[in-house]
Amino acid sequence: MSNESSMTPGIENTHVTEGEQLQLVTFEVAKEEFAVDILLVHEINRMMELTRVPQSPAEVEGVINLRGKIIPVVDLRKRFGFEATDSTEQSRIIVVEVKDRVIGFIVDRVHEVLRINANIVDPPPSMISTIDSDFVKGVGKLEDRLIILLEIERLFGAVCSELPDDGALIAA
Amino acid sequence: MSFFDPEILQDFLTESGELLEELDADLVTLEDSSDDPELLNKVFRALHTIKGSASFLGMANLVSIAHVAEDALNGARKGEVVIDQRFMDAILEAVDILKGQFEELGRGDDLSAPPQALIQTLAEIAGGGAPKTAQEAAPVETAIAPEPAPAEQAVADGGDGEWPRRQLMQLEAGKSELIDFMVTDLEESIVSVQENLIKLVDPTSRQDAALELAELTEGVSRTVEFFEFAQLGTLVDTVNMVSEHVGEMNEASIGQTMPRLLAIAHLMAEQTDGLKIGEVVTFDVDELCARVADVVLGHELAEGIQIDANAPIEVVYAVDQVQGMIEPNNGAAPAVAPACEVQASDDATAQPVVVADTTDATAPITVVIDDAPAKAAPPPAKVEQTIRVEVSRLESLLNLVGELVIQKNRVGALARSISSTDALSQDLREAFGQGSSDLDRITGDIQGAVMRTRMQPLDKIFGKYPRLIRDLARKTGKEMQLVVEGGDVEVDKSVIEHLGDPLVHLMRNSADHGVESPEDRKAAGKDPKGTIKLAAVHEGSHVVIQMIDDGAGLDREKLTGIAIKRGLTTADDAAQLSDREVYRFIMAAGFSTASQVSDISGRGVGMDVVRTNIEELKGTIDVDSTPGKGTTITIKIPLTVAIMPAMMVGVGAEQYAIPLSSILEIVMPDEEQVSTVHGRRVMRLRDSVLPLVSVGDLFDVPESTREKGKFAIVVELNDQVAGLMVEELIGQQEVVVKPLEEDIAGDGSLSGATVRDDGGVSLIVDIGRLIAAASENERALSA
Repeated sequence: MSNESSMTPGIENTHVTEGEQLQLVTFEVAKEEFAVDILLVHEINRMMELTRVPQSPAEVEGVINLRGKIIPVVDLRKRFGFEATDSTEQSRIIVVEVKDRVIGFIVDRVHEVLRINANIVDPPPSMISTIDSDFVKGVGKLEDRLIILLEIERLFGAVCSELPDDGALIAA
Repeated sequence: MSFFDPEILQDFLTESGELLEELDADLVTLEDSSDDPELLNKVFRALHTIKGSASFLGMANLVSIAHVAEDALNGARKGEVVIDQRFMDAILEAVDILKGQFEELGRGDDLSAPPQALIQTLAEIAGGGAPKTAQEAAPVETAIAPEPAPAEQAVADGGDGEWPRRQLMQLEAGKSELIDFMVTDLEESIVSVQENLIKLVDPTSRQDAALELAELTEGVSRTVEFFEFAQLGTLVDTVNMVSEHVGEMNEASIGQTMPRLLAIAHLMAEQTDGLKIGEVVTFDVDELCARVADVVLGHELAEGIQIDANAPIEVVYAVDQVQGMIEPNNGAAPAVAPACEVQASDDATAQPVVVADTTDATAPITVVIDDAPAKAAPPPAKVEQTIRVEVSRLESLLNLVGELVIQKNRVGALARSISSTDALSQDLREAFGQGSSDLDRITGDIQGAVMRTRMQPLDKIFGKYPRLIRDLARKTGKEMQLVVEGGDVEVDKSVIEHLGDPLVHLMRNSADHGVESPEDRKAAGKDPKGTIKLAAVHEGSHVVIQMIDDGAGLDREKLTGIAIKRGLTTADDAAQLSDREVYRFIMAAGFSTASQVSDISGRGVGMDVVRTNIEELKGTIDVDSTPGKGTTITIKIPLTVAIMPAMMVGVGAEQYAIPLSSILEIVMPDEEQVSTVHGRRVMRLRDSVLPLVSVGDLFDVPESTREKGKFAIVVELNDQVAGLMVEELIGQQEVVVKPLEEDIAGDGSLSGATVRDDGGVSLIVDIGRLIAAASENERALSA
């Protein structure tokens, strides 16, 4: 199922466009390194107090007050099925905008802003050991490590359930 | 029509749209009181204005229908046409067509042509009432004229002493294209103004002339305002003012006014000429206008400035120091100078002194200018009474106020904690406390002021109902009237938006099921004409809207029968229900008493929607009825839903907000007051028993953090009462309601979120859904 174009239009594009640069924000969840397109990221905040919402979907950890706007926050550890841990000094909430919706997600730590060439990004392998490959947009093969590019809309599947499933993580 | 500035079109749509809406209501009233000349005039004027603006915008299809309707009304106004059923039907249909055309305009579609048959009918009704002018009736589809005459010639402001001042006309692109339309229009209007001014002198024709004048000048005034020609506006308004007050003036005053008005009309013609060649001409008319105003207000003019009733225009100019109108010609001028026939002076010279070429040799102008340097007091500045503001700007203002309230709460919390520390000196603490309470007060004022900007009178929706009832009456063959009270009560815009549909549903229900046929009513000893009353009053921070019909009322037996059939209750339970509880069934989804589904109502969806809409507004709805006497539906809604007072409560480590408007009282029940019935906890409070809901259980608050609920918050909605058990009362707070996105709000026991004074988020409990959930559980358990 690796090359279903309907799922990975962005990647297809990055393959044909030789030398296109991707700018990514990379972060760590349960010792794995992930990335999202920097254009989707609104801001990165320190951990703040979450308000639990009773009877909300399981992946919604709670809501926060982002300068007067109430936004849902998803814990990526839970979403990926990793063991839940308490937040640390390094924990961050990355606020992204997906299809006019602002959503935060909790990560263990934020690494860096990375510029990579699109041609080193491979489509998602059929099997990634740690997380559901549905969430994966592609894998960036750096010299010393691999970075998993996230399919952000699938990630918030339930939260974004009303959105049509045609978005791309990487703005082509 | 693509050459119109979208803004101009939007202005037209808004302003004329409002007129159209009023028209509907006024027409229905007119049907009942066709002898009310005031109303007839109002209706006529509204149509006239719409037509005028539309012709000005070159909307032929709109003008054609408005025109025939106006003609018919004009006939009625003159008593030539009888206002009967056929007349009203045709006029109302025309209004509907206009509405349709407005919608098309709003969508940016081309205007559809009005049905020829209707135009025919209206034209027949109008009978002898021929179109006023061919120009008006004809589509004004004229090519855009080239840029007006050479404007470089015009001298800019020639300094203080020189009149008239001539300035290049400067208009926004969208408007300058329309100037040609306007000039033609103006010229015609000014001719009519002058004709009517002459009639005004004669006491027998005075009243009619005054009416005509008022209309004419209102129309001109609007055009002039649109183009922002201030002085022309002042002149027109002066004539308008006189036309409205002439009835109260004595002959002497009229004698003083008339020559001056003729002079004004002359000046208007001069200015119109100026516009033709792209100049804005201003004269020194302050004195003139001020004196007319004085006379109208009943002040005696000083001897020196009294003028003979037949004084020629030039004498007026001299006496009233209208500089710039000098240039003697020859001989004495007739009292009435047909200056209206002024033609465009092609040689737009840059002379400071301009005399219009007149085709009529009898209109020479001789002016002896009195060089009195006395400077007239400036006329009172024209104050704009209203401005239009985009809703989005008000929304963002409201959001900002919301933020301000949150920060105010925060500062308040800080002030409280500071007041109990020794970290600061006494003086500082007091100063901080004072500052905080001032901030509190001012924020409250700002909040109130911003809220008021969003308030709109209920008439905005009430105004549509007379027409609705009229149509329903015709459709059902019943006789009924609508009485509206309290249309001036103002509520928040969002309330207006949510209230319209529910009221229509209720109105239809009353008309269809409530009010009986005339025969039945007569048989029951009632007035064959049914009455539906719609009344609104303020009640504290709420507005109460009642809809009262004097129809057949609700049939308890019939309602319980249906309710049992639909499984909403059992025969045993039904017998114990109070009348009100039974009536409440009509608001259940899919509940219909109508044996036949009509296209008016009866599908059983209406009342359900009504209830949902009202609950969305945090309002309540109550039904009361007396068989044979009628039904009363009472809706109570808060004035605004954006910011509300709430009680903050603690459950475990979490805080929730409970709307204060739903709270009846807060009690600490004893052990013996609480008992368990059918596995449900209930509390005895005085002589009633109410179900208890543990907020902690309901919201799955982690057990480990919780204590036993100590307080029972007694809440009421729609006559249903329940107690909410909480552990801690934190205090009352103004909360700014923030929407909670639906898919994360769970099952809907929450109506939103709010930001606390410590910056954290608390969720707002939806009392309606909570009570509903509680009583459903109860039913399920007891079954």
